[in-house]
Amino acid sequence: MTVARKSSVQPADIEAIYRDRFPVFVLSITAVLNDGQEALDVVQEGFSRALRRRRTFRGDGSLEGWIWRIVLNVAADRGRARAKGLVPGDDGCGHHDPEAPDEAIRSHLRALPERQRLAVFLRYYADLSYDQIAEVLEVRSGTVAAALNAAHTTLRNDLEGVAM
Amino acid sequence: MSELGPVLNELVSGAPVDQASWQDVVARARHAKRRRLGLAAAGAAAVVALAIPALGIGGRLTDLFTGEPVSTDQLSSEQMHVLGAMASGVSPRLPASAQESLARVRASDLRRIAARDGSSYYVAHRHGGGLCVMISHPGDQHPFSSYFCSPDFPSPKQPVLDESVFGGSLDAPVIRRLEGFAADGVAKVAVLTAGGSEAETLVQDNVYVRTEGLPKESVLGIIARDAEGTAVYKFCVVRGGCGN
Repeated sequence: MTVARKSSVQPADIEAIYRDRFPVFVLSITAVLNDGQEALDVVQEGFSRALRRRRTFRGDGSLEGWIWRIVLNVAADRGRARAKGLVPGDDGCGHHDPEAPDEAIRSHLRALPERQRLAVFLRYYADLSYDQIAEVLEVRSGTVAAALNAAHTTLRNDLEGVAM
Repeated sequence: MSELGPVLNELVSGAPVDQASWQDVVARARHAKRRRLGLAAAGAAAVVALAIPALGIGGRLTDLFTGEPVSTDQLSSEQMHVLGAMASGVSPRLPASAQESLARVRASDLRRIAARDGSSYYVAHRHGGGLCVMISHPGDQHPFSSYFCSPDFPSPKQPVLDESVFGGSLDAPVIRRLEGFAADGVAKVAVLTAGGSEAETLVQDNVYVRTEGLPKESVLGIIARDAEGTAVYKFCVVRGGCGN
């Protein structure tokens, strides 16, 4: 007979992370989705899923890392739905000048490969360490380092390309 | 020159960082259904900065692709899968048959370019240009300790593919391991600190690695120089950049 292991994660544990880290979750997901209200909805949904699924947390990593993965999965689902036209996305109407240097850099930032982009956002908005990013993205720390390095190089060259 | 920091700030301007509602989270969990929040946007955004150094590069950069060919017999099925997928530009999470992985690895012309203290350093052709690099540390449970593909490496644009491991916080990062791949024109790599460059490490067989004698205090990044001592590449890991 299989006996289910009782989760040691309590709602208060998740609530503590939510109260402490809510702003950086929202900032990071806003950058990922380019839509603050969508990001807010994703973060709320992600934490509610974490709350519902807390008994599935195996404890082989940090609780916050596990929550980040859930939230990023919700964001990815939302991004896919948006791509299919199921969810309205940012139309960018009237907000950006495509020829402005910053807009060019923003475009390059969005064009980075997903892993590099997420690594940059998690590092700079959430202030996660390399090890924490590695845990969230399920890669090794060295791979995070390489992803950040490549992103920096790409963006540095883009910055030079739009020097005023 | 434009700064990336303001761009990152602007990217999240209006993010509703002050709209936390734990009650809403609990309600969603109870009802298990999603509902959109109609909350007004707030203007607060965290101050973040990513400084990118403006560094010119010149000098000789030749093909890095040397070293001994690696027989596919020496690779585990997991290594074959990961390497084959990466070199082909597909996600290693996607399933592939053993035959597909084998064909991909053979097409990548995998080579081991260096070995140091039990660690092996590999390069492979990346489908579409550039290289994939992999490091295998002894005793590692993963197929490769790290792996990465870049369409720009090696090139004057990207003469170094650094895989150093940093710890600490964003404001006070510390380096745990200096390690990476460098093109032929790069002679040495060092750690940048507030006091200058330290732990200068020679590039041998297009690889640099150092685990001892690294600065104990916080670091700014790494810097690569050619044989004449000219800086050819700089990678900053701190907010505000490495300075001059």
